[in-house]
Amino acid sequence: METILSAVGMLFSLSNLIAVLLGVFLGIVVGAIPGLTPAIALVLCTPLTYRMETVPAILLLLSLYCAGTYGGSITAILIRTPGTPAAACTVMDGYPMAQKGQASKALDAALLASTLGGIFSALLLLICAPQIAKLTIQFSSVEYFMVAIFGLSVIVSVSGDNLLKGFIAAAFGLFVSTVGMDTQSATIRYTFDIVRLRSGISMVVVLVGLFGISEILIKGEDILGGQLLDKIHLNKKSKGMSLLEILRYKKTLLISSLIGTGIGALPGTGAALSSFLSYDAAKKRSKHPETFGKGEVEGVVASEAANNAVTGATLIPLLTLGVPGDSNVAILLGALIIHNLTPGPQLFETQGPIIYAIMLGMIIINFIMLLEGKLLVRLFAKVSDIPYPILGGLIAFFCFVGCYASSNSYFDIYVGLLFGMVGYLFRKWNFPVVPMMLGMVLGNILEQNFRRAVVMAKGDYSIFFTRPISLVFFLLTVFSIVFPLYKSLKASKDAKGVTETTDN
Amino acid sequence: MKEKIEKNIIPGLVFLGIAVFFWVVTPEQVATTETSRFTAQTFPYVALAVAILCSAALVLTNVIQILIAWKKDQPKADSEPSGSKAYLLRVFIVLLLLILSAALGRQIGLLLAGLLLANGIQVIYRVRKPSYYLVVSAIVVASYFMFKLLFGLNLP
Repeated sequence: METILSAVGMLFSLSNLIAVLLGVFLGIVVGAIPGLTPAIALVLCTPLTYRMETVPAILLLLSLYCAGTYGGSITAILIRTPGTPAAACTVMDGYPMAQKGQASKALDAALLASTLGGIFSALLLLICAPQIAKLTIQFSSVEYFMVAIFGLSVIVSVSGDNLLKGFIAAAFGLFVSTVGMDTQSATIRYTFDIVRLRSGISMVVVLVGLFGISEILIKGEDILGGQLLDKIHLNKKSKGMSLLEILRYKKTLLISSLIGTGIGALPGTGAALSSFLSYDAAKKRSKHPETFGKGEVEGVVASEAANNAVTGATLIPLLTLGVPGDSNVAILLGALIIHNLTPGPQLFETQGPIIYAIMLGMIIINFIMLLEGKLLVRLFAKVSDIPYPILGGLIAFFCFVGCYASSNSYFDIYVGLLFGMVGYLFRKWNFPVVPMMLGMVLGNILEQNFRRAVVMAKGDYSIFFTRPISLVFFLLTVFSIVFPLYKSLKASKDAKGVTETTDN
Repeated sequence: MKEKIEKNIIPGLVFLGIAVFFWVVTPEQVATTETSRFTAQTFPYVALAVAILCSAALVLTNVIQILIAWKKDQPKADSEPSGSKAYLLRVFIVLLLLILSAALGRQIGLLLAGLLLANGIQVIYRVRKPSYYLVVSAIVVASYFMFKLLFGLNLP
């Protein structure tokens, strides 16, 4: 109790407030620019924190991380170009909502869900970080592989009308994730002697290409095809969403936050996977699953609550075990060490007040994100009123900068253009783009953990079904594939029954 | 309906072709010396096998659907929808501008390439209002310096 009180005393200072205000603002802006991820903002801002006090320094970086994760949803909703991989799932319902004239509603839903998800995981971090860490430490490669397999079952939900097309897209996503150097054997794969490809294909570049550049091509075709410029507006005026309205989706918020926290606590999984899984869970629980993918606000809520719930949860393995869960947290780990905070079991004992101040700060960050987000959302919502020719030119420029910034090379712009063409063909041929992103997200986790698990079990595959956590995820996978099939069979049977009764 | 069916055959064949190509080049492109059962080639082969099977299934189901439709009402080949060739040309123009800007970027820097790209898109979109060009140019310049100076991005 004494520790928490001194942490509260440490937290409420002007320098902390300024750090959080600045961090949240920059985070939202960076997250909203396609190609610029929170990781880039963290890398760029970490040197600025060298001379700062420990608490404001870490709070500044955490604000960038949390707000950057949320910011990715803004462009996903408004221009069908997710700012970050974690927002790829938000496109599925956010953009159709904007097209229906509900941009403000979608933006508010994303902001509120992100805030609530973030606060949920921050509270869990504060209350039961050591317990969650104890649970996640039991996850070996076997369990990680099964989690990834469970993640693959989401393809059924995000494939649209044609499952075969979803599988093709996901298979290509998995394949693309193998390009570059294999981390286990150091074998070079599919580089065609291009040195730049040895480090693999950046997920951010693929994201920018598949969504951003393909959108420019599609819109170019529409406009050149004779559509009037003024008809390309996405939105006129739409009502926002209040906190009370979002609480109508309290079950979805809770389940998505739990999924986000669970996935976030597992190092190496990431926010994108959590949003896919919670989207799938929300769709399966919904009484109207057919509305998902066509502008269902619950889809936005599920995806955003989950990906922001990851932000607090990734700190659990970081602070308790010293294990960074993703690239963002790896940078945070560096910043913690610079400020003489060496993560691990001893951290809570040696630096208790500072750590609790940081964890309490996560809650404050989410509240400030809500306030700043509310102000910025009004501004961002106007983006949909900008004539597309202006927007298109700017999107193209941001896509170029985003691709270039991912590794400071023009080569990535070409890779982005290539995936832009792929995304264009996918859309022309009605292939779902999201399963391809899912494949890319899961590819590495699947392959590396499977190989490690097989080595660990000395070739005995029964290990995947004999370990309790792995078995649970296996059963969940079976359930998540069989349940929708059963539901659709039942629905078609019922429909047949109704038709027969009407005929009689 | 027929158009929809045919639309799935071409993409099916394209993806089948791409997957088969990568399958064929795998031994050369993933030259591994591993002797274990699971090597660096295994996972790509599995992904490609799924792509090949699903693409083939997509083509096959659509061929069967066409045959059934053919048997039922012997439909004549639909005339090509108007503008279907023209759209390729339109996309090609936009794509050409994107590639040109990327290629020129090395010589003239990202700022000038960005200005060329953003304004080029205005031209392609047939914008006649000079104010649009001014607004876009101003935002590109402001964004470039914001990225460079505020965010510290190493932009050429």
